[in-house]
Amino acid sequence: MILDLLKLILTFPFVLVLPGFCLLLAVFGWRNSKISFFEKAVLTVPMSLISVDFLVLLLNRMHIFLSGPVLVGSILIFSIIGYIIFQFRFTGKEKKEAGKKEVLHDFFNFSYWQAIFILISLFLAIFIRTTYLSDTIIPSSTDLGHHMYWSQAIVDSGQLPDYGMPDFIIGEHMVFSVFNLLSGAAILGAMPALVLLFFNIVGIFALSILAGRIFKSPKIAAMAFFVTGVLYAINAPQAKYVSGGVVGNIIGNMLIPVVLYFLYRALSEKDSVFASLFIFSSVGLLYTHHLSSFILLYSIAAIILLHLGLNFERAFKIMGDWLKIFLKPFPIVILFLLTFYFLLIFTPSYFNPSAVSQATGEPSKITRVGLSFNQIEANAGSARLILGALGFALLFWVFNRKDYQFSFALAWAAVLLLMSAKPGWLYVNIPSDRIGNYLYLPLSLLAAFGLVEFLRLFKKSSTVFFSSVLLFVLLFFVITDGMADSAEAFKTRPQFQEAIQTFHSAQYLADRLDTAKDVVLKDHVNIYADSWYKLFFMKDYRYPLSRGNLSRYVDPTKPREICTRDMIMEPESDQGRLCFSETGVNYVVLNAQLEGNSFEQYPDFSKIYSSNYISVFKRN
Amino acid sequence: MALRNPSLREGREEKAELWKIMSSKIIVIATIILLLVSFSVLFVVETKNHDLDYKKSWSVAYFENPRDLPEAAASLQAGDSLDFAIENHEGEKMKYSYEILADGKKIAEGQVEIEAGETRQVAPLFDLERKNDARVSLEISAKDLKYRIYKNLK
Repeated sequence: MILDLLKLILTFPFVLVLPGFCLLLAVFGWRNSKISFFEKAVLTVPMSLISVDFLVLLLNRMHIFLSGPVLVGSILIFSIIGYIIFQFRFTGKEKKEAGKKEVLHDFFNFSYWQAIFILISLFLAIFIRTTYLSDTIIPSSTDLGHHMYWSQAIVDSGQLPDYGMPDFIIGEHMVFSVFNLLSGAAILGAMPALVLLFFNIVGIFALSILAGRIFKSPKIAAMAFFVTGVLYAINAPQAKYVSGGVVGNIIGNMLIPVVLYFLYRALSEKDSVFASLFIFSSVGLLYTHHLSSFILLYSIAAIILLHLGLNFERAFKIMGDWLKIFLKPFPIVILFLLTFYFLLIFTPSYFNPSAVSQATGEPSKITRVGLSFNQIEANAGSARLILGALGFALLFWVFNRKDYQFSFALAWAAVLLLMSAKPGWLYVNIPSDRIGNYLYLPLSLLAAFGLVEFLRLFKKSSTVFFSSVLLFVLLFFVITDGMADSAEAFKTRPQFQEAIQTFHSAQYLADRLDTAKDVVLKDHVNIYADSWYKLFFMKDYRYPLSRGNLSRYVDPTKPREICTRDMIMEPESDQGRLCFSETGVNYVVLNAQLEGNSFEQYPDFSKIYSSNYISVFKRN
Repeated sequence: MALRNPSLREGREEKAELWKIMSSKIIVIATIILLLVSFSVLFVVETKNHDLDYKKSWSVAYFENPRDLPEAAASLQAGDSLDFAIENHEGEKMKYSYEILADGKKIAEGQVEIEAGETRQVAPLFDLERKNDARVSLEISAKDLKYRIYKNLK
């Protein structure tokens, strides 16, 4: 166990630090006044993730079998190339510039108390998440099971899969396969949750560097750790998304602030290097999660339009400046390379006109017409929403409206609020609660700003007693409401025994059945961790068949398949019998305490497996 | 008083400056340590709990060869497999009693003692005279546990 843990832990820096570190070294050199150590340390992880994804895509296109040694070699070659470029570009120059005093606006040199505050926030953020995950760490969530099937498929076949459906995106699966191939850590183990937890924590840092740059304040960067990491640490999209395996959102929540960070710096500093990294990280996100990319697209459009609107008289000059930033050799080469990747190396499965038309237009379902205020409050958290609103109001007071910082902070929050509350106004046709999950990003940014500004204003206040009471009340509310969900971390009941019994029954069937002839139907409604069943067979994404949640069988817009439901609910009816003969199902896996009991009355079935939790029936 | 002393004040300012330079490195290193601890704890918790026996209490009985179970009572013959297995994950040594029933009538019985975490395979003797029976059941019990597996014959 210790050796396995050691291998897994060593894989983290090799996969998620080394490539990004060498990439940033090649771009910025060892010391660069443009970017601080702190920012580079944070950006190393997302840059590594994107680099490794691109490497795997390239290897697959070259029909090279994906294996541990191949990946180790590729990552090393990539890193060495980065280092050679660094030597070539910077060695002489850095020595010459070593004597010069750096004129660095570093918003990440934290004071003693700021650093202590960040360390306490990080300790709480990691402690709360770890405590919560310790009760859910056995792989059990439905989404993670679905995703890990594809990661296992990559490991087994040595190549990237053809999904045959737009629901999955390759960037959600490659990194887990790479971890498995390099460390040997089982996909049906702790590894996927640990990788997601790592991305979740790096996401907190990413939002902090964005806050630090936009508001040009180490205080606000420090406060971002508290607002993002400690408040609502369990609720979606935090620890619950980590244990729930909502892979795309977790990675998207890390990459979106990174993309906006590069964009902000490219535009505000007129810097083509940051423009190139903006393109690089945007395309990385496109390969990872369609919804996050869609949200990012709207966010960027809103930022650009607001900035142009607020600087209407200089709009053409600003656009001309943007062209000057992006029409330089470095961004053009990156854009060319990534277009080449898109067209010739790997095109994401969702990249087609029908997917675009499905996501845009008038809301077509009740779940897409927008969230009420209460739903938005539940989604973002009351404390974060109130602090965000405070920050939103203070923006108008503190910042010059013609500056980029105003457009970035305001437009990002405004467009996401609109997309969540009134999607029809923006021609958005996707489930509103899924958009609402992204609200925490801009609201955390505004909340950190709002809280710091609020504290500053009260410090200046002449009525000390009154201001102290108000401040105390606000902080009391923020901490009690924002940390109420953390109590869940200590209340959850682990369902390890149920999960293990589910896996045992799956292994029993996988060892004994001929999947070319035998068809298994399992009950998703009443069996815990059942979505991991498919990893024991690795025959097909839809094998074994599954009785889904009952609401899924009712759709007024189109007829749905109902056999998986009827074969469990009415196995002896004419419809049930017809379904069995049509689907070829001859094994049914049920919760022993529920349908498992009722199935014993049917003479067509024999009970071949019986545990406290699972019963398996064979159709005669 | 101390701050009025220029050398002390300068020393304090130098310290503050040094801290500012070092703070981001300390935060990154502290995060790495916190993550190492977190990952180690979670990995150990998962690995231990992934074990069939660790802090668990359950048993399971199953036919060894579900694909080869006899289909019809009339065609039942010696060599047909009704071999079954019992796994003990109760956390202690258990004595399991089993009864073989043909349409509810006991035709054989036995007992097996199984160590914690172990599996015992049983190959029951089958009464070939009873060819009209529709259901052959295996009822396994231990303490307050009861499991049943059966084969319905045509």
